[in-house]
Amino acid sequence: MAEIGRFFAGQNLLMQLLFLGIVLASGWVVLRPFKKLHPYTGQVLVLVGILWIGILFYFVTFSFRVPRFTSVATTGATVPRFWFYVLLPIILLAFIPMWKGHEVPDQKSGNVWRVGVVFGILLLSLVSFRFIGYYISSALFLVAVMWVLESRSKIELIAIPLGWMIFSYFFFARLLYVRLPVGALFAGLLG
Amino acid sequence: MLGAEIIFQGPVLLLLLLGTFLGLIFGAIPGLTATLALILLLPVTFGMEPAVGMAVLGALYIGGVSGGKIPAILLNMPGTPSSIATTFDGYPLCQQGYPGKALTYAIASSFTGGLISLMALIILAPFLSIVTLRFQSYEYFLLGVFGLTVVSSTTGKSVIYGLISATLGLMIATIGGDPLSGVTRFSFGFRALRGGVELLVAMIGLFVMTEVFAQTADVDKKYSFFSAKLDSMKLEVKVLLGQAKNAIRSSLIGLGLGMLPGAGGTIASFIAYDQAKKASKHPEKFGTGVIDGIVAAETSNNAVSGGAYIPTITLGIPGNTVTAVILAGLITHGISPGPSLFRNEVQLVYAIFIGLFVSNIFMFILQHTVMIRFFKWALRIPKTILLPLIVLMSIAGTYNIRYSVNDLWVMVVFTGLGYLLLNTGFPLTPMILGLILGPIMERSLRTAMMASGGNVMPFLTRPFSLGLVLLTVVSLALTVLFKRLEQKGKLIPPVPLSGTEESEV
Repeated sequence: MAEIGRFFAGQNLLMQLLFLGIVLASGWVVLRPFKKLHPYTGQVLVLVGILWIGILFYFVTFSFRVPRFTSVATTGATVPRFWFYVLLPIILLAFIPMWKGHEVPDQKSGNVWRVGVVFGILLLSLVSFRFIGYYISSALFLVAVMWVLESRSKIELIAIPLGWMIFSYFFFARLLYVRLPVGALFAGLLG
Repeated sequence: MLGAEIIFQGPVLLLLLLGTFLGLIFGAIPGLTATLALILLLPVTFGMEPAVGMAVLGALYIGGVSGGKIPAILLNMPGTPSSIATTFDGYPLCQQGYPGKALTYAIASSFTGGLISLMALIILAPFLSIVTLRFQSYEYFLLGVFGLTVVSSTTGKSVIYGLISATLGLMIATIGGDPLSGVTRFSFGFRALRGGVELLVAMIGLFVMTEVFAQTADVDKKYSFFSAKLDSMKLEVKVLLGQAKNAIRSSLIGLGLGMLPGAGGTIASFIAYDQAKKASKHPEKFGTGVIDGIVAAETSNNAVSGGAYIPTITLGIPGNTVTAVILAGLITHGISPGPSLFRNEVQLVYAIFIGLFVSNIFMFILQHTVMIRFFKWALRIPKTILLPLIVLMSIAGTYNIRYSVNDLWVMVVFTGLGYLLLNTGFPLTPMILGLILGPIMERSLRTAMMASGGNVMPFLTRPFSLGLVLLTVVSLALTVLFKRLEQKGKLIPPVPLSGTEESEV
């Protein structure tokens, strides 16, 4: 247990995401032959993902160093393990109505493609934070997202980001003294 | 009257009005919170008399808690955690074309809840604190269990999904340093996680950003309220009188829970909502936009603000994050909170209470006049502009918490997680409550286990503990029973509780 715990504890977040991806892909493959579970694919995968997080946390608790003072009845591992023991039977219970076909099937989620694009723009905007700062990246974010959300008015596409940049500067930087990043590029240019 | 001479001065009243107004704005803008308002403006109060400074912080608190209802009702985005239950009926009523009605009764409920709790406080404060002194770690842990059970049974499509969401929140709450041994847990080399998940970051990701993305998927839908006009905002006396029992019950729940450190407005509003639903002749209508739900949620969460002052002032234990800032304010102003405060600083204590009373009146007037007109204008902003603007405010708000870009990535992770959970029918509310209560429950459980030498029997043998265990079991059993009856067609199935959580069902 301790060996497995130490292995997982030693992996960074990117690797943890990779493990989660592998678990979900495996779950999807295992699910394929069970046709009666197909309407619940999303719910099953989310349950598998949560279960994996629980298992991961459980194993990692074995890598925690135990304090020397032995009179203490609990350690840092006690409560995470306790929550895992609570989680395990509830997740298993959640599968029963799906197996019996009593659960509400997965619902359609609207325009998922658009959500993905906006999410991608958000990620790009956060990456650009370090370079061009909040004010410019927020203006670019506004233009891009408004375009994706089908706003085609040229006046809106120019005035809103510009107005936001000015407003956010005075509201956050001048009024509230919130030091939003100006970006490495401008910090360098301004010396 | 003691303390009145400090508060009833022109400049002080003006400061309270300004404090309430700023609090309302911070509470109403998703991403900005009452806590943020208090933290940012705490240094401004240093130059004031301690009683005035503390009254201004109280005004910010009252405004911040009340302001949360505005985005909760209009946008389905609770500005503060204690406004989550307001979305259950406030947002559906808004979607039906009655945003004015929803706001009017919510404002009146906030005012009533605040007023009842403050009146009770002024009279009972010294006596009420004695009860909470008898609560120990066993009771605090079980109170958390009870709160989570109630939330899991009142949100989402099934109790099981609610419990899974709550447990996931509790597990995430264990990320970071172990409070007793100092061991770093589950950070996986990510610096931002070493100190644990910042609650506000998680909340912005799970509620504000998830809602934005959920609305992004359906931006074409015609039911958008943004084009809607405000309906009548008149209070009907008959409706008000009909809600009296509900308001008093909810106020007492809020007042009682507000006194318990760690409980706060979120649990209070859920329990009050749950109780109102159970007491109603038409529980099946809850979640469809009934006034009873709005009254229960708003009366109780505002009643908490008065109650939360009790442990903060008398015990030096803050009831929530906001009162923790108030506690810091008290200490900074050279006031030692504790049982002796009522004996040594009576004038100051009552000045704070009167300040809260006055701020409550300002809150009512401001929301009915200026704030509503402000949001009447905001209603006309198209979704295509408002949604990205909310994202940008959330980014600025998240960054401002610890000036950390890493927190933004944590927020993004919570946004993704929230979106996945939301679209597969898992309620998000129990998860955030798990995150809020997790550290308190862990500390309580471990303290209790250490005190009893690993013996679990005190959880069942102490009178208050046993009461809480029985309450939890009965509440869970009743919920399961009602769900069974629904399935057998003996009860009309309830319409989804929250627009956020099950709008697509």
